[in-house]
Amino acid sequence: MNYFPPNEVGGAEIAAYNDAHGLIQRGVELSVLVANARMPKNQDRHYDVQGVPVHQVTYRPHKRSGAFLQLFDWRVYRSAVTELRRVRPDLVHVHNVSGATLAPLIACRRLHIPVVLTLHDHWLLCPNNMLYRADGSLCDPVEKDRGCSRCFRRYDFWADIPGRRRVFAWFVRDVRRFVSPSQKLVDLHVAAGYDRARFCVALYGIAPGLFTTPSDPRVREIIRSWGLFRTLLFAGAVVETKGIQVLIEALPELSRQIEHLRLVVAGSGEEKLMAKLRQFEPSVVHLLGRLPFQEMRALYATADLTVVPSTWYDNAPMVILESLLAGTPVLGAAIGGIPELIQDGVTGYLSRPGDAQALTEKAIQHFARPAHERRAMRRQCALHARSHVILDRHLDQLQQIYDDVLGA
Amino acid sequence: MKISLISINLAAEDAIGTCVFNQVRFFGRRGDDMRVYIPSPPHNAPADIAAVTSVVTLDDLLGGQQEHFRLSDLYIYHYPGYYDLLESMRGLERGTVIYYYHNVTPPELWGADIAREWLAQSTWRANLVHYADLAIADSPFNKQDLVERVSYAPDRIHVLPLAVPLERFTPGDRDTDLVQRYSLDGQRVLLFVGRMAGNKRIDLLIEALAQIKGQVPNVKLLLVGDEQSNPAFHQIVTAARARAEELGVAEAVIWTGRVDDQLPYYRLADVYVTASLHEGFGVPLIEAMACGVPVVASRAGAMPWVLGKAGLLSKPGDAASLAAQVLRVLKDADLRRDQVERGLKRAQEFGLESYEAGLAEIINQAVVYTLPEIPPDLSTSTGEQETSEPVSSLPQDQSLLGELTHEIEAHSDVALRGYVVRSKAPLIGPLIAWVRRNLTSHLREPYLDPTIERQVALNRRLAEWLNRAGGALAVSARRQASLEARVRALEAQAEALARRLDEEGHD
Repeated sequence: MNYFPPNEVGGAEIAAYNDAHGLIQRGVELSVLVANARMPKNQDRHYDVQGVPVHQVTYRPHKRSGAFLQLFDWRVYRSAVTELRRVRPDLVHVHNVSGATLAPLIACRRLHIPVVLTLHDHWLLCPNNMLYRADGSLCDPVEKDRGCSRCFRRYDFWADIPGRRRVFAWFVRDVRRFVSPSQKLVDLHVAAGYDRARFCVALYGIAPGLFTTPSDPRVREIIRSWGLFRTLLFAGAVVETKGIQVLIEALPELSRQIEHLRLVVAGSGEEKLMAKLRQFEPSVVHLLGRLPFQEMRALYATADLTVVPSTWYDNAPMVILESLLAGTPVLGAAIGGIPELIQDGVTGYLSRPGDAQALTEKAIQHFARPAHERRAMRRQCALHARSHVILDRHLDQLQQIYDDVLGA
Repeated sequence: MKISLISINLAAEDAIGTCVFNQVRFFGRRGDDMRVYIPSPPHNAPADIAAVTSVVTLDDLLGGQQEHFRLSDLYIYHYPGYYDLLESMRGLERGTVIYYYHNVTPPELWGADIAREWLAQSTWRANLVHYADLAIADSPFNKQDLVERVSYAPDRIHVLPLAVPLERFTPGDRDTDLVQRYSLDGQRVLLFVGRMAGNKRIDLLIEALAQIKGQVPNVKLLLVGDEQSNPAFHQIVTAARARAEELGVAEAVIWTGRVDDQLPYYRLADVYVTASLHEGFGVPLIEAMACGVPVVASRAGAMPWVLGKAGLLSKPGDAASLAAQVLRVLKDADLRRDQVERGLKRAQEFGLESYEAGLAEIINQAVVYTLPEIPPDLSTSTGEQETSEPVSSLPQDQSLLGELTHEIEAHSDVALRGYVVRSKAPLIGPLIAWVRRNLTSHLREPYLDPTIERQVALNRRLAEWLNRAGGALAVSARRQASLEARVRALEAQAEALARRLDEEGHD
C-alpha cells in the first residue's frame, strides 16, 4: 500500500483496510507493509489498526528525481525485501503502487513469492493515474501519437507511451492476477494490450456496521432535520475530476424546481470550486469539510439522493457502494465503472458525464416520483448492496483468487 | 429501532388486539422504541400498552407532526378491514412497511345488511398491500386469499400464526359457580366462542343441536361472545333465537354475551363446535385444544390447517354432518381421548415463544437498512428556560470566529496562486524564466508542489477545526447559560420558600 488508515485516506485505502481486517477475522495470517517514497519525512514504524498489524516505511522524494526513480525506488525495494524475509508470506497482495513505485513487485520476484495486484486507478496506462487531461478531456489509452505531452511538460520517458507501456509490462510480468473492482478498468487495460485472462473483477466489499454518531455539530444538525428537507449529498474531494462543477451548474435550476432542497458537500478541495459553493445560500449548500468515513454512514442514510457526477473514468467509487448500503439511491455519471454499479431507475440514475441539464432532469425526476416508489427504490438499493457489495462476498472472491494462484 | 404499529382499534378481547399487545411487548423487551397509532380510543387496554398508544387521524400522520411516525424504521399496518390510516402507507418515503393481513369476512357471508358495504370496500382495498414491502398472513389460507384477491407475490408473504397464551389455557376443573349459574350439572356442554357474526353460522349450530338432542338428551349449547356491539349481530341473534324456539331447543341454548375471561367456559365444555364458513385463523380452536377440549369444525377457511392432525371436520354449511361428528365424540370415549391428546399436542405449536421467534426472523429479514440515529441535542435537553434566556455575549463571538475561519479558509491556498517563475531582466527575461522553469521542474513536481499542497491542507484543516471548536463553544455556552438560568430560578424559588417559612414561623 501507499497509504493506510488512520492517515488521510480515500476509497481505495478503505477498501484495502476492509480486506485486511476481514481476512484476519477469517483466520488468515496477514500483515500490511505501507511503503511510500513521496512523503515529507523518512520514517519506519510499526502500529496496529484495530487488530491489523501495519509496518509503515516512508521516504522523502529523491533530491534528483528521474523517470526511472519514479518507477523503481531502491529504498522501497530494500525495505520490501527485508519485510518479506521477516514475514515469509505465501502470497503478496499489492495495492495502489504509484507511491511505492514498482519496487515491491521486483522484491517479490527475487524471493519467488506469487503476487496479486489490485488496480485502483490507471497508473499502468497513464502517468497521472486518471487518463484525464488538464483541460478536462479524457485520454484514450490506445492513443499513441500524441503521448502525454499535453499533461507533462518535459517530453521524456513518460510521454513515450509505447516505451513506457513496455517497461511497465516488464515490471508487472510476474503478477499472477490483476484484481479490478470494475469491468471498465479491465477493458481499458485490455485495450492497451494486457491479456484479459490475467484479470479478475472483484467489486470492493464493505463491512456493514452500526453508525458512529457524528461528533460535528453541523452534521448532527443535518441529520436531526432530515425529512424536512430534500437532501442531495456530494461526498468526496471537491475537485474537477469528481464533477462538482457540473453540480454547481445544475444547482440554481434544481433549487428552483425542488422544494426544500439542500446540498450537503462532505469533503474539501480546490479553493476555486469551494468559493463557488460558498456563493450559494448557507441554507442551500452545507459545506462540511472532510469527515471520518465511519461518520459518513449517518450522512449517507440521511441523504435522499447521492450525486456522483464524476468526469474522469471513475473506477468503483466507494461513495456509491456506501450510499447503496445505506439505502440511498445514487445519481451517477455514466462513465468508467459507475454504470456497472447503478441500475438506471432501480437503484439510481445515470446521466451523461459533464451534462448539467441531464443531471437536473434526473434529479427532478427522482423527486417527482410518488413517495412509495422512492421507498421501494431505497429498499432495492439496500437489497442490491447486501447481495453485491457486502464484505463477505468480496473476501470469498479474494480467497478464491488466492487459492487459484497458490494452487497453480 | 423505531417502530410504528398502525391498527384499526385496540381491544383487549379480540384476536387482533391480542396480536398487537404481543407485538408491543415483544418490541418493548427488545428495547425498540415503538408506538401504536389507532383512529379511535383503545378499549380495555392495559396500562403499558395504553402508554405507547396515540389516537390519530390520517392528517396527523401525513402532516409530519407525529415525529416518531415520520422517523420510523419499520411500519406494521394491521389489516382486519379498511380504515383510513392505511392511506398513510402511500406517503412513506423511508422505512420498511409490513402489511399484516388478518383477512376480511366476505360480505356475502356476513348475513346482515349493516356494514356490508364496509366489508365490500375492505375486500377490494386489501390491494393496499402493494404499497408494502412484504406481508404477514396469520395462516396459509390468508396467504392464499391475499394472492387470489389482490394478486400479491406469494414469495413476499410470510405466514406467522397468531399466538395463544398457553401457560394460561390448560385443562382444568369446571367452575362450580358457572355450573350453578347455567345449571349445567350432569349436562354435556357444546361450546362456541366468537362474535355472533353471520359467517359464524350460529343457526347451523342450533339445527345441529336439535339433531344431537334426539340421541343425547342431556346436552346444552353454550354460546359465548359478543352479541351487542354491532347491530348486525343483534339481527342474527334474534333470528337464531326464533329458530331455536321453532325447533324446541330454546331452553338448551345458553347465550352468555361478552365475557371478560373465557378460560372457565372452555373448562366447562365437552366439545368445542363451530360451523363457521370463513375463518382467517380461529384462535378459539387453539384455546379449546389447549384446554383439552375436542374440536368439531367445518372444513372452511384456515380451520383445517389450524387443527392439523387434531379435530374433526364437518361439511361446510351442513348441520347433519356437524351433528354426526359431535355425536361421535360424545359417544366414543376412545375417540375423545385421542382427540384431546392430539389437540393438546397441536396447541403447543401456537405458543408465544414460537410467535416471537417467527416475528423476529421476519423483522430481521425485512429491515434491510436503518435510518440515521438522531443524535441527542444538548441544547434542548436542559429544558425550556434556555430559550427565554438570551445569551448576550455569544452571537458576536461566534460571528467573529466564523469570519476569521472563513478568511483562513479562503486564503488557505494563497501560496499556490502566484506560483509563476518570472524574471525581471530586460529582453532575455522570458528566456531566463524559461530556463529557470525547466531547471526547477525536477524539484517542483516532486518536492515543492507537495509541500505547498500540504500547507494548504493544513490551513484548511485549521480552519475546519476552528469552526468545530466554535460550534462546540457555542453549544457549551448555551448549555451553561441555561444551567445558570436554572440555578437562578432555583435560587429564587429557594428564597421564596425561605421567606414563606419565615412568615409562617412568625405567624
